Amino acid sequence: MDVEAIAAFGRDSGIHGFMNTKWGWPTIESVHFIALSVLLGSVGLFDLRALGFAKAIPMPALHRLVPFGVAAFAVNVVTGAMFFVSAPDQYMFNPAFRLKFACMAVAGLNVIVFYSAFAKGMRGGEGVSASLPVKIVAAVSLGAWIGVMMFGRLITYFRPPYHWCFAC
Amino acid sequence: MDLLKAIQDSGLGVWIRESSWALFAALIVHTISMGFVVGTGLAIDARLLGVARGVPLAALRRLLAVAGWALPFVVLSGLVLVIGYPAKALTNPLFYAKLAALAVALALTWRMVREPPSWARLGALLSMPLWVLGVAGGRFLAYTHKILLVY
Repeated sequence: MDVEAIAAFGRDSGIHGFMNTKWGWPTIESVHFIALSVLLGSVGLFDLRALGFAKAIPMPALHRLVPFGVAAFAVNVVTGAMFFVSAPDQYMFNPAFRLKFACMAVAGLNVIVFYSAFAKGMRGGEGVSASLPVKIVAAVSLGAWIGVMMFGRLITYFRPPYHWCFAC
Repeated sequence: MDLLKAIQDSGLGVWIRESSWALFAALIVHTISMGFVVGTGLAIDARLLGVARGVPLAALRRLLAVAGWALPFVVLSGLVLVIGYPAKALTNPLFYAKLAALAVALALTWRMVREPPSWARLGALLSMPLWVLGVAGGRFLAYTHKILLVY
């Protein structure tokens, strides 16, 4: 990927200009954080239920919240792209950003595994425990999303060029 | 201001600012635990508004327990951030607005979950923007402070 081309797209599309208005950056950050909360409040709660919290709630019922998590993720792809094209050098050469994407890849693969193998005939009615494979999928999901948030938060810590990046 | 300066210049305050990891560890914990508190709050609001009706209303308190687990992490990590930069937060009116929004949202949600009242829908509609304000307020704190440190 060409940093200059991405930066040029950011400028030409007007996104860079908007982000650098007085409240542009914090506004989009707020949207990013709220959507992140919605993801935790849907997918994260579903994972916790699979792991044995709040067993009084049937898993298929809680699963009805997951589409909100998918929508929130879509919002964060858009808001995340707005950050990225506004300062591509700050992300492309940033180890935290790369690790964040690695965690998202794990979360993505995990979603594929869950829906191709375990979602149908999901166990977990009121008071019933999830099966062991579903528990493992839930633990991976929770771990991956926590990793996404942790490395997301660390992006400003590893702000290039002040920090070393082994791969960039 | 004297008190703020005393907190800022305390051993803990200095360590939080000068340690290579303390501030970011607090930020990470604050972000994730806050995400769980607000996410759970929004999920409860959604259920009270009629989403995912298969979730028994009586079980919503089990969901609020997730926020209850996350809340001590929010408070502790928030305290670390405030002790590191006391004037930055405590001289910003937005900080108090954020705290008030979250306190009201928590109290409202706690009350609605205990036994859903007749006004639960209204309460859910009210607490939703309060959760949003709590998150957005926190994010804007980094951009709206008048004072960073007291000299």
